Parts: sequence; C-alpha cells; structure tokens
Amino acid sequence: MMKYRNPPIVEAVCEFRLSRDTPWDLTVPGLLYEKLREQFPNREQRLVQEFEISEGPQGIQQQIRSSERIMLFGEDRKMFVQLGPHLLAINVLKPYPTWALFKSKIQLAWESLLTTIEVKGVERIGLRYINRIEIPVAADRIKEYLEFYIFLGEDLPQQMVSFLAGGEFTFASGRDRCRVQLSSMSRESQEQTELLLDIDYFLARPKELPPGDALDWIEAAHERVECIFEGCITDVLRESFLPERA
Amino acid sequence: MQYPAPSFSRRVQEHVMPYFPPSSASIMLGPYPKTALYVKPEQTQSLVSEIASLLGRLQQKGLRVPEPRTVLDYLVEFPELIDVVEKVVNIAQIRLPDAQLSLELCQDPEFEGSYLALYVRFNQYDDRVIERLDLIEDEYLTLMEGKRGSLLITTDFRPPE
Repeated sequence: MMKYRNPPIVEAVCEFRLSRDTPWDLTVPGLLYEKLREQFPNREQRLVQEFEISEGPQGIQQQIRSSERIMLFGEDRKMFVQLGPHLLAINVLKPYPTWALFKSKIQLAWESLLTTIEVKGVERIGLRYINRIEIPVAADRIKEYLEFYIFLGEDLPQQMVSFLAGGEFTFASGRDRCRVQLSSMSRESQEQTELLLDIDYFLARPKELPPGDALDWIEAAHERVECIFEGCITDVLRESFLPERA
Repeated sequence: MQYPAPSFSRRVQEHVMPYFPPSSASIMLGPYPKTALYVKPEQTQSLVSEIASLLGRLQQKGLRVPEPRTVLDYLVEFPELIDVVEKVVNIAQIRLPDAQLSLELCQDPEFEGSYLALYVRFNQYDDRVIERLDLIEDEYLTLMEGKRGSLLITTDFRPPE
C-alpha cells in the first residue's frame, strides 16, 4: 500500500443507502446524533434536491424532490456525517487523514446506526475518492502523467478546452462496480491543467450484501480503489505526491 | 431491481439525459411499484462533486470563474453557501442582463479571512450602477441570513473581460 505525504485526495465519502423496508422516521437522526455527538458535535441542516423519474399512466414523469439532510461536523469541520431518509454518509475532506482513521469513523457511524434501527437491507454502498491533480503542462501532454485519459487520434485537433472521460469496471462477479471519471476543471490559464480523478466503488446489486458484512465490504472496496488509483497514474505523477519510502 | 425493456430505457434517456451532465447530483429511482426505471447509475454523493457540478452549470450559463479551485475550496469550507451562490447568480442574471458576472475569491487585508465576491461588470458605468446593485441586495441579504461564510455582490468598475 503506497502512502503519500502530499496525497491529491480532496474528498473521500462512504455512503450507505438502506433498503426501503428498513423503518426510518424523523426521530432517527436525533437518536443517531446522541450516539455520535462526542466525535461529531456540530449539527446543521441542508436541503438537498433530488430528481425523481417514474413511469406513470401518462408516460415519463419527472419530479424534483427536496429532502432534508442533517450534517454532523467534527470540531475541525474536515470530517462530517450526513443523515437523510434511508441514507448515512461519512465524508472526509482534505487533508485526508489515514484509511485507518477514516474507517474507524465509518465503523462508528455504521455500528451506531445498526444499534439504532433494524437495518433490513442495504440498497447500495459507495466508497468514493475524489482527487484533484494539477499537472504543469497543457492537456495534450496528459499521457505523461496519467494512464487513464481520452485518446485523440492524430487526425483530430490535439487541444481540448475541456473534457470528461469515464468508464466502469466490474468486480466480485458483477456484484460491485467501480466508476472512474477524469474531468478537467476549466480555468482561464492554459499553462497548467487541473483535473479531477474521481473513483467511485459501489455495490451494484441491491440487497445482495448482508448488513453485517458491510465493513468487510468497505475494506475490500478500499483496496480496490487504491489499486485503481495506482493504475491511473504514471511514475512521474506519483513522484509529485511525495511517496513515503521505507 | 427489474430493468425495463431497452426501447423504453432508450426513450427515457433521450428524454432526460440532455439535461443532466454526468457529475450532477444523484437521480432517484421510483416510485417503485409500477416500473423501476434505470436511467443512469447513481453516484455516491460528494460535496466536491456537487460544487464542481454547480460551477460547471453556472459557467455554461455565462458566469465567469477565473479560479475555480479557490472558489471550490471556499464552498467546501462553507457548504451552506452552495445554494446561496446558485440563487444569487440566477437573481443577478435576471436583474442585470447586461452585466458580466464573475465569481472570485478575495482576500481583504482589512477583513479577517477571505470571502466570495460576485463581481458585476458593465461596458459602461453611470450613477445608476449602485442603485441597480441595491435592487437585488434585499433578496441576497435574506438568503445569507444565518449562513457562515461571506458572499458579496459588488462591482470593481472594471470593464468585462
């Protein structure tokens, strides 16, 4: 496992979405807060808009729905827990601590939830890492730094003002997927290229994982995310993250 | 989860997908009793992704963001401003259609810390400029009530870039 003194991670998220038959009501966030307040004492609320699509008798129907999200922040506001209807997420912002510390918070939040409500099933678990990468060259030299990028044939213009590349890999016989996206952050200077390398490893088959196996799944997911990340970067870029060598 | 027939799925994608860039907030599926729709894979929700998506949307609508990284970092620190930024930019675009809007992070030596500024720039300035900014001030101040972080609507009297 490679460790870096200057890792490019700007955010890591572990998100649990519970099956709809798990009983959830308005008291759940408050009950969870009581269990987490020692480590996440600062409570705030946000409204999040979600877009819902369904098929009705008159065809495709779209609905924008607002849902309240409770956010519990640690003292330094670099780590927080999000609670919403059938949703628990643990976010950590730059500077990324260590996997051991992040996982300990995930474990705390998840086990607190398991002792608060009866989780009937897990619809989805996601472990997402977003990396912000600055390379000191224009985007047409990106292949010197990355092994995952948009390939342009020689008959195409070689300068792009912005791009988005993505793909999905499957693991565990299709139970899991890992979505990798590389996007440019548009800025007006062309001397540098700023990128977001976004790796989202998730449970793709709802309810196929027993809730009691969630933490083992997350450990395995983290290992695969690490492998994917290492596979996306060249040694040139790797050196810029200041790898720790034994 | 049951997947619809490909032809139906394709109709849904054609209907919905043009409006959603890949990094937008998650699309919920449901209600489920009739037909579960699979339009696009959901994403693990991320604050950074939400902000990057917001800035991308606003830039497509004409907002300038010369240094997106600094604005993103500020909104990561003050996520309660995410909704405010979107609403304020929309209000300014409606009320000041002849202005160029630029969202920037500013450091003021007299002001401890940094703040976001939505600069309003016109081709020509007259003595109505401040009056025009005042017209949107009430709406903007209401949105800022109780929020941590700072967002200022102002002009630096520079021409549009």
